Amino acid sequence: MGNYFDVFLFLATAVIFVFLGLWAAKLVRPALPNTGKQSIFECGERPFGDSRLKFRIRYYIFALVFVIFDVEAIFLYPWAVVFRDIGLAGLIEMLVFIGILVVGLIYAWKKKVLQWV
Amino acid sequence: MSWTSLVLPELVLAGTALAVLLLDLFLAPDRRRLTAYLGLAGTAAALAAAAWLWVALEGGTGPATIAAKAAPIAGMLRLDTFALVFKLLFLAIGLLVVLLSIDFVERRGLPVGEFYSLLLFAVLGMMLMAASRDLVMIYLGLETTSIASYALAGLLRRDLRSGEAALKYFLTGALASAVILFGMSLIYGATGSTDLAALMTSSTVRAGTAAWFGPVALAGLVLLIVGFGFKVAAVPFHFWAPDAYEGAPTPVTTFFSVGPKAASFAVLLRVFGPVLGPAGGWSTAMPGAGALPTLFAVLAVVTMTVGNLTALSQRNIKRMLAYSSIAHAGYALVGLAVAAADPRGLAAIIYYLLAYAAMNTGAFAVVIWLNNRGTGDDVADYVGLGRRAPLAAIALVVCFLSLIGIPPTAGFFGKFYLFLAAIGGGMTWLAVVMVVNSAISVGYYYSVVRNMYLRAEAATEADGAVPAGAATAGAAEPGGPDSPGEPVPGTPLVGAALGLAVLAVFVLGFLFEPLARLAGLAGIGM
Repeated sequence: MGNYFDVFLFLATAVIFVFLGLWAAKLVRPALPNTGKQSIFECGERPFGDSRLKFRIRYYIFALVFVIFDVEAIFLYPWAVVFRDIGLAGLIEMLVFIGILVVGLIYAWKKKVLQWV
Repeated sequence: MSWTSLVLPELVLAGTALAVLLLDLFLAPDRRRLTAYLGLAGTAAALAAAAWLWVALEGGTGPATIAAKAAPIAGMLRLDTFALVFKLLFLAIGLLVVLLSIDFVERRGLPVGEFYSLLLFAVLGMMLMAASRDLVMIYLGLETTSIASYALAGLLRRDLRSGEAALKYFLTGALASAVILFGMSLIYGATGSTDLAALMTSSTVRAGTAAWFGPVALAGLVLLIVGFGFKVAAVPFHFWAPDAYEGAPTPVTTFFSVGPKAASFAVLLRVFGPVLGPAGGWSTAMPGAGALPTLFAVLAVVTMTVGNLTALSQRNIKRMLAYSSIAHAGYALVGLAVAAADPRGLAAIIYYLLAYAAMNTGAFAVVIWLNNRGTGDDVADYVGLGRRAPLAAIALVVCFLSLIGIPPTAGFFGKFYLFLAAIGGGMTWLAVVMVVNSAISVGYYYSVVRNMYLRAEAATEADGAVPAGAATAGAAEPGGPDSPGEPVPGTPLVGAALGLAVLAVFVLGFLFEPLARLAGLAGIGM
């Protein structure tokens, strides 16, 4: 357990620091609350309007297609680094992988996902 | 034999699934049926490839040769008798479900390419699950199956209940996946390996040296039981099943009730077979592992009892079959409960899953057959079916007899084998609970049979006596093209699938002895 003592020390320091700071600030600051000051700070916005509204789903489909090719790029980098070592088999495997993604792209294309209407 | 030929069925299936998706994009809408035929041909080709592998690898059978043949593929997959039996089962299920779907997909306007490619990908995931020798691979296969299944459940896009089914299946499925992953991470943390074989050896080493090993590994195993309990719809993790089964397109329901369920059982057998098995495995290494058989026994009893009792009060036949499918998962769990004491428990589950796949697919085939002709899914819609569609009615009776467990059907031998294992494993009380539950299940199966045969005349008389417009509770008015009294014409593809399923119910029954031996070998080969 000795190794974890430092971790607990950090944890305790973090907790104490928060309360110490707030308590010290409370001692020295003037208390003049107003609506602006008491509004939520960096914890999201006050909701307005109805949450059941129509929105364009198309943007999310674009984002989904993008994510697929983003992940493809992530796979391509390490593959490119070790390409010399894995040779032809590695090339074929990557071509199969990209081929499967291309099928997805053709699918999205033919389903008119890529058209902004 | 090169590794490509060892995974030939999977390669064929994956290629077909992609080809189906592409072909559908470039076909005119009125020629979409070709897509379905491509899917059918691809599944048949994959089945042929699996059968060829079977013949090539199983020339001489016996535990020793099988262990030698259990070729590891890239350290992740294992091609042993167990995997081959399940692959053949899954491909057969896939073939039957494609046959059942073709007319349904056309009639209900489901997206053709998406339907078949998702279905084939789900089957692919199931095959990977059964052949996995690594926790990570198990999870990958599981997710391939599950994600495809969530989408399949919601493919009736204009049907609210289909959307509800997809959402419920997705939410509970995602929760189950998270629980399974957490369990796997604990097991990995305790043993330092995700490879099932390495995990066994390292666990026996660590159990002697580390006091925390037992509790951590046991917690991981229990979480796996909970997660796969969701997947096989065991009580108390079953609440999603009736809604998902009722709302999903009926061929998809057929698939859910036999496919992913059998695949999840395959994983349970892979992981817990060695844990509980006669070799000792972890049971000797873990202080609390003695409770695992009891846990499975309690799960089995609760699952079959709740499933059967709730099925009694169902009006919708898909819901009724959903609860019946929950009950059957309970019967299969008996095998796991007694596996520690009697190795036949594992073999009995394998045989039971084969039998269950045949009889349940058959029962759903009749539902689809009638659905295609416009008959509703309520039990009341089946009044007079014995006269309107005699063949379908007889087929349904055969499947129900098998589901109840009446000889000489496969269902009888499946239960018989589980009884033997339960008694041999010293859990006679569990066998007694199974018998009582089988007796309860007669109630709801019989209510359909009674509607089909015994209430036929009464319904027609009521139709004749009561003036039009005055609807009585007794007289069923399904509406649509299929009014009572008019003979129901068949559809050849669904009829073929139904015929195959009913044939399988008898053939599996008659081949009990060789199949049980085979299941035993598969159980040992793990």
